[in-house]
Amino acid sequence: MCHYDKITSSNKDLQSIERNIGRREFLTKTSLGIGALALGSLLGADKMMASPLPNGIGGLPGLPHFIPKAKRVVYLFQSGGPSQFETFDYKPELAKMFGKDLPGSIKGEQRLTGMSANQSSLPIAPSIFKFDQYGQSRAWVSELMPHTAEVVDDLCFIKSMHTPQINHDPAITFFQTGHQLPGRPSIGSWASYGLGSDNQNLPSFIVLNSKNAGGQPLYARLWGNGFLPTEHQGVQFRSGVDPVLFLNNPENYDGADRGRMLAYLKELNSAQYDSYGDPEINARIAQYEMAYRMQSSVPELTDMSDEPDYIFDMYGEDSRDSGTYAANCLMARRLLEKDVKFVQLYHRGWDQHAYLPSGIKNQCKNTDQATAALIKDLKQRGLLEDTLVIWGGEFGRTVYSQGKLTADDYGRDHHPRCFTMWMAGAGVKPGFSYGETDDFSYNITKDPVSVHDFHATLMYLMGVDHEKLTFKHQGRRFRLTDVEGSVIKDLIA
Amino acid sequence: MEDLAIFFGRFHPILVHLPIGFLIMAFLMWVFQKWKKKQAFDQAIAFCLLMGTFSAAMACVAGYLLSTSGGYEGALLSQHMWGGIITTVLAAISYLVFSSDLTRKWPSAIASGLMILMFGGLNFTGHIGGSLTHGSDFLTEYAPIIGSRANQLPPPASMDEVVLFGHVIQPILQEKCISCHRTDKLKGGLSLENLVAIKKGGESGSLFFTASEKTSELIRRIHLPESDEEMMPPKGKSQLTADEIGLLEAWIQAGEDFDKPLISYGNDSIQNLAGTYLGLIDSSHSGKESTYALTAVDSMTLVQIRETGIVIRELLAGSYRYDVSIPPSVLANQNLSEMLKKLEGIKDNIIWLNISNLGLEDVQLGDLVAMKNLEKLRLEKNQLSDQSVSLLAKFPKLQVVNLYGNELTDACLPSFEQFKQLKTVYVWQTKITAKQLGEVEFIG
Repeated sequence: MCHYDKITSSNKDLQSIERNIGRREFLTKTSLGIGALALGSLLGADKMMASPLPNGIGGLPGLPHFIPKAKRVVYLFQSGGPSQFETFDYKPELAKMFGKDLPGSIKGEQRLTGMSANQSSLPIAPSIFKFDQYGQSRAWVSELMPHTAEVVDDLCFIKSMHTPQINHDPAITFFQTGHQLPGRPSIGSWASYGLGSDNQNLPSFIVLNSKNAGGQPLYARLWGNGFLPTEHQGVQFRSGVDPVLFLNNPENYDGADRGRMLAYLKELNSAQYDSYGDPEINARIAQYEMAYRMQSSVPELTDMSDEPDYIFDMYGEDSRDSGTYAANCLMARRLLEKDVKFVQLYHRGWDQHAYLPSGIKNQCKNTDQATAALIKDLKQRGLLEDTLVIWGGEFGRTVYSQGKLTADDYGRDHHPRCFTMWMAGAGVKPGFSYGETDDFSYNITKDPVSVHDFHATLMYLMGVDHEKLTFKHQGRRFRLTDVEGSVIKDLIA
Repeated sequence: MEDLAIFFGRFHPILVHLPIGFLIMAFLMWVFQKWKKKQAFDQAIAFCLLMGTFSAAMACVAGYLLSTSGGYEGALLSQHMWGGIITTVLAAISYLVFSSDLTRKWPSAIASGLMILMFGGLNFTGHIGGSLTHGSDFLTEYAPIIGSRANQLPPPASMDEVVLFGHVIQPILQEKCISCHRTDKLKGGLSLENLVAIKKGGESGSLFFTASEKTSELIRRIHLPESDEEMMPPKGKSQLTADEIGLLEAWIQAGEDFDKPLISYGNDSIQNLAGTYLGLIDSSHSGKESTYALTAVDSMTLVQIRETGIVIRELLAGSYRYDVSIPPSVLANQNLSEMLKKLEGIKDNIIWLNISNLGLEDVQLGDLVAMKNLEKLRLEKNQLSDQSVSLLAKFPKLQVVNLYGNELTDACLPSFEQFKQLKTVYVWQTKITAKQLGEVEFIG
């Protein structure tokens, strides 16, 4: 047996550290303590005893605020800003205006990026790809997305998304955390913090990032926990044999030894927590324990031998190559099957300032089949019932060509004023399209949806009132939607 | 000048506590002295009596000024006034007695009589003062048997028993209005204390719509902006909530009704407002989310089930409706049949149940307890056969069942016909070949 006294050191420096409780911890503890005393006398001890149990594994009591429609979310983030013109926002009128300058009445006062603001003209570039209507919902989809076209009756398009951010990093940060500056928790962290987990052997927030996709870099802070406790940060699964770094035992190190070592480490950490009171120590304990359980749960996940060939065929040949978008979609389904609450995929490379036709063709080729397969696969397993699938980027692209416009080549600059996203599954209207843009897909003409609205709706579908899930930090309460956002009820079935 | 009088008058409620303290102190010291049979406190008693007299006199003046501001009428007021004056005079005489050596010369019965009278007067005046401020039944309202609460309508057990006036309106008036509008205070000449007074109305008119008046004074006043002097309840007093305003309006609109049951009011929104007010309806969740909470499950039961590794989520906080999953990993050291038995304690509270991928067989599904509120059931990737389908009858509210990956064949299809409430059945990876059957949508 092992026994620790509260550390008392003869060294003066160490003593002062021991005495030191962080200012924030001290204030939190004392204010909570005093508050709890007052509350106790107000409510009476009997009511204190009946405090509600945490929901699921580690969720906050008092949630959900609504009956959740989505038990899990998979967010297929198309990083770079996919063009709405070549995918879902069909603008047939543009063909007649090929090469003409964008009318000032449409452009208005909007500031352009430095990349196209100095162009002598802003020539209108119609999509060179054909569109057709599909499904019973008769949704328009371009020829670049033949597989997505097959599942349009399950999709709920939002054609009228808009964002205030025109550059990649702030725009992605805004989409993932509700604020353009780094430091806020991402959507998945909020979900994990509020709703907890349904699988104690896997993190509730897992991140997959396609390999072999170029373009703007992504940063770990996009799936960071911000000021929320650290165990709610997204855990990235990489490609290859070692998907979670530093998870495996060192060579020749026996699993039972590891277990014993971690048990001792937990005692040490607990003793440390008792003397310092820093909640991050508890987060560390939780993470070590999670990592230990993941030593068996992760290999089971990454062992694809139980997937039949027809599943790989469905997702496309790439799905056999670990770390591709297709393989990640398949992995996402495996994670969702195990009730991981929030799976965040990233696929980069949608930033076609030049050579757009060839660039976007390649992007669609790499993603279209697997995206559609994920929808179909979830559906046949009955999981689309309570899984929300989201597809979209951080902004849209301009109607005019950035750089030279030719009959078969052009580029498009960033366009935050309107772009298309879609959602599918749990609780959203299938085969539905919301919002409209003008003939140039430059301005929204009907039913705008802000990023805050999108977040509010997403939280609603998960059973969370976005105004009620808050975290107090640096003297104020923060929430994913800051002080804005309203649930778009029209999207909800 | 009048304003100044009111300004000083309003110090009355502060000042009165001084003579109360001083005079009680004097009285207690006197009692103590009597008990110990010494006269050691005479000077201290005299001091307390002097201070008591002074402060009582000031309280009297302030009290008189306050009474001139109106709003206090009737017998209680004059009782309080004379009680105060007499107590002050008695305190003054007592002081004279105790400050001289009269206590030694006179028979002690005189000093005793004075002290007892003074103390009695103090209590009487104080009590009447309290009645003036809080209402004459403030002290005894909640007293058992004799209190006015004891005679009220018994609380309604269900919506059918609710009487709008008795159960809803009267408590609102009691809580928000009656501290000023009652027989012994009569602000604005209005009392809401009893039915006769309510029908009579106040100085500025009737509460109800009348032949001559097209407006109700009550409705007009409760809708005025806060800045308006005539707004009721006045600024600084506890305000009506939006729900309470809605309820008062509905009651006034209905005419002079004091005993109709709530169900005779056709209006749905009034039913909802009243139900919420009485706590009979949980409307904390708007629209479709509005659900009646199920019977409570005690937290020990939940803790015990969770200890086995079964995951329980409450679908809506406080609803006792559960989403329950048995993860396959818990079978590593526990027996499935025993795990399923654990669910019996919460069987009526399970709305969604996930027992997929557990190697579940027909026998075990057969042994599973009936769940009358179950809506979604996940049974995929088990070893269920065609026989299992008819077992679903024990889930009368089942809407979605996931059976993919089981040993089902076309032979089970007719069994589904009995489940009219069933909306979706997932049968991918079974041996079922037919795809459509009646209104049931098969996916797979």
